[in-house]
Amino acid sequence: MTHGIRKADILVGALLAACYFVMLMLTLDIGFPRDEGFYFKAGEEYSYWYDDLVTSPSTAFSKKSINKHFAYNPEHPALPKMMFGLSWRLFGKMHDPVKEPWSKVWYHKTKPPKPIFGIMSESTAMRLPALILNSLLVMFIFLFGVDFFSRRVGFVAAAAWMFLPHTFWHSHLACFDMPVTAMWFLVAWLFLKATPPLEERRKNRARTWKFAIAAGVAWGLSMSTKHNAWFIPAVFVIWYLIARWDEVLPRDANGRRRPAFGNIPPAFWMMLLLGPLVFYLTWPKLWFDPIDHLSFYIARHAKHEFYWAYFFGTLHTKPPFPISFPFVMSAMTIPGPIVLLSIAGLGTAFSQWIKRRQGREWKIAVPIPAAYRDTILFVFLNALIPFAIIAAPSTPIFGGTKHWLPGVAFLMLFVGIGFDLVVAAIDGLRERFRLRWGKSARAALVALCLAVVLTPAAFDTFHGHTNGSTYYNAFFGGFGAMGRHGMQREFWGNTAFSALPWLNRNAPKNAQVHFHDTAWDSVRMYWRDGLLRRDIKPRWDYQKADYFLFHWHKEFLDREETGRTALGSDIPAFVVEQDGVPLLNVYERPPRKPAPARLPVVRPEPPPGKQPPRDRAEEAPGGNNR
Amino acid sequence: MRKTSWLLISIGLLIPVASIVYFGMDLFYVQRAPAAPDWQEAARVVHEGWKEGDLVVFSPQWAQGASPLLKGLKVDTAENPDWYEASKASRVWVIGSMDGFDPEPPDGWKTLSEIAGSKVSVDLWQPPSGRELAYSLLDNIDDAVVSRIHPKRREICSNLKDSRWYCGKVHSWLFVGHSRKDIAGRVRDVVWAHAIDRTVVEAVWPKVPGDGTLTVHWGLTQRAAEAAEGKPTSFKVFLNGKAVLEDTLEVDEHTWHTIDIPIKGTEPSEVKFQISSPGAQSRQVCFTADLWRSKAGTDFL
Repeated sequence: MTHGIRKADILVGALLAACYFVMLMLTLDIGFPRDEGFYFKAGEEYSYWYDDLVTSPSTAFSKKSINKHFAYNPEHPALPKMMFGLSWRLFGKMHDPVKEPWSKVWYHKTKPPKPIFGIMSESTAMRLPALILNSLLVMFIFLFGVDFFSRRVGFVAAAAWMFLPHTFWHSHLACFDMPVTAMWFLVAWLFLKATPPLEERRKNRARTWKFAIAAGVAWGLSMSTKHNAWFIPAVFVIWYLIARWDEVLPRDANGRRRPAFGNIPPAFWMMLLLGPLVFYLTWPKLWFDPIDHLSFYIARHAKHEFYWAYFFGTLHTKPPFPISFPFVMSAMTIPGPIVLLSIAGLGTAFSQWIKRRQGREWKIAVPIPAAYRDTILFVFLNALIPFAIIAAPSTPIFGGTKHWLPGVAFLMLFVGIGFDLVVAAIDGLRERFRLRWGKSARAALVALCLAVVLTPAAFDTFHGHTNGSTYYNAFFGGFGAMGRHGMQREFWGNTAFSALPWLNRNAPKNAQVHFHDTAWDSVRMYWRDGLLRRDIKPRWDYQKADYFLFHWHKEFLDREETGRTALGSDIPAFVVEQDGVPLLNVYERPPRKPAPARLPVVRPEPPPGKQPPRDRAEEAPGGNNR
Repeated sequence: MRKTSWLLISIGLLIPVASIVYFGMDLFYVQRAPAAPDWQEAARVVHEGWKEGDLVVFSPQWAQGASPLLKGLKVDTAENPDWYEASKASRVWVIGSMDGFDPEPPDGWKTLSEIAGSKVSVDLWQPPSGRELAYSLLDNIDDAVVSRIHPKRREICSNLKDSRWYCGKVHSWLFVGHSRKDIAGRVRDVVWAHAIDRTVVEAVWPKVPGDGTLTVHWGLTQRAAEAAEGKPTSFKVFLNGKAVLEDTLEVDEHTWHTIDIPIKGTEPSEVKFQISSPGAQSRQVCFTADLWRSKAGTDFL
């Protein structure tokens, strides 16, 4: 039996999620990485489908309408972008094309829609669905912990998750990596609830089927979030075959094993049935062209190009990539105390597994409060397999840590188990020294220990949160590890955000800026959110640009040289740094030499009463705002 | 009931203790990072003491937050230090911070002054003074005679533009001449000589001054090494027609090799480089060579 979730648990979970949501909303000063720019554009374009849906539902479901509105970014499922777009239309504070005619060009087809509620910046409105779902993940982790381990394990796991700088940074973005992490976790939770041991399933069929259906729907939604979800059934099957193979291959009266397909848990059937159905229904591009588009989708991700990763001074550009990459990167980018707790948790689980196998269960001093003996294996596989996928030498590495975040969420449950070791140590001390602590004194001591392990993690999360994707823990030198160990620094074009105030202050009117790795759609959103002066224009041309924002990536150093040479400036005019490590250099073109003086042109005086025509550019307020 | 073992108690207590230590490290790393006033103070010191021929480097080299304040000066902004290249300067200012606060000079260098602020140090070093740079092949690329030796003919590359020799029209990579490339950990100023299929690329400096030591560096660019395409590349150096170096660069070699070749006699020498590869795809070979002489009254060789 699971430990059961009380109403109070749901309340605590909701409070934790609300806290996380507030934390995210108070730290929105995070730049727009490349992929987020693309999803802003997709969200905007997809949102016009809702207009068709409202005005003419029959048209909305036509092939023409789908192809028209969902043409962009077809390589990822539409659901998250549809949510981003919907939220943007509902809550975004769009520019008024009448009052600000220059703003038209910042929008799809130069037509900004009318705001509906208009209560937040456009980027925040786009990010809102992800912010909410990512906050809910905190609740999921807590409730999973309560359900299958203990309240303490759930609370510590959820709290630890809240203070991971990389995940906190990714949680802000209108991207798919955190939403799919939340969805993976939800599917796993529902699946596990639907798959207790056979006896229990038989006793409570209604409950089993309820959760099985929920798991099937959730898996469909998670596939519609990002392709990581395709691996989920494999994890469940592996777990089931290891932990419950007796159910499908029971012994008959003669002691022979016979397959019993009827014992296969309903959750598998529901995932098989409902998952693809929900996936199909929530991705309009599949409605009229399912086979071709699915083939395109699978081929696109099966043959993804290799992004480059700078790892301990070596730039990895093609397979074989180091197997250690995701493990070492996580050890470096998760705050030290949380790494220690996760090691303690994994160690505890492993040592207990060994002792059980050796029949020495009596030696286990602090048993893990798992609902079922195979729960730990389930959590372990869900933690390990996302890491293992990226660890495979032929899997593309994208330089960051986001692609195995679903595994990190489950790792947090081991953090909770690891903290039980700290509590056991407190109890052990009391026992050994026969100390007479009361319950409240013990609780205070446990709370103090929790504060001691979480405070550094919270500090790490909030310090430098704008550049949270470049965080390395203090055991490896803090942010300085980027330079010291030759590691990836900037993520993907988001650091331009920190250079915008400098550009706004210093760039002359109509300055042209080579934004390097920042996507055009990210720049458009900087304009729309009022973060970039509207006369400053992006120009990805070293020869023509007045400024070059070099995002520090090892693989781009040659381009930095090209840019510096073209601009005629070897020394940056401004550096964005985090704890002393440069993340972005702004190069400024030195003032051009004045044009050679020309002989004054003598013009005849205009006849009295007639003024010469003036330069129209001078007349236009704001200059280049056409 | 079984008692909790001391091992378990120790591990359990170690975690909060380690967390406290960790937090201390956290705060230390954050507080030691220089802020704008620290960089400004360092830059002021450098500007005040600056002389023609000086160079600014950083310690650690990646901590370049002061660089925007050093406009107008010669600043090394590469990712890692190169003390050989730095030794060409008459004096080297070292702005130290964090891990590289209060750095130690390389062997043979002299410390002229040291100023330690709270978060940033500024040292002034003098490179080994017993020698002087008599001739840099890169700086004298105009003197070079560049050609391509095809199986049955030699093609002279006579189009010199922006310190690059082209055989015919300007080309993005078919030239021998100055380039800046990321090689073995840092961007370097080099002579670029991309290998060409079934052809030997040759560059000759006919009148390199004698009586000194020719220091040659060579290697593949970062991009060439990571691409690991083509076939191993031959790099040869001839002094007055006699081979003094023959090396084969493997397709994924990241090293910036070096060798010192003594040149005896005061007569000018001919220094020739030949680059060839049976598979020239991405074989971006680069090299430099400098002739160093002893200063009067010293014997650095």
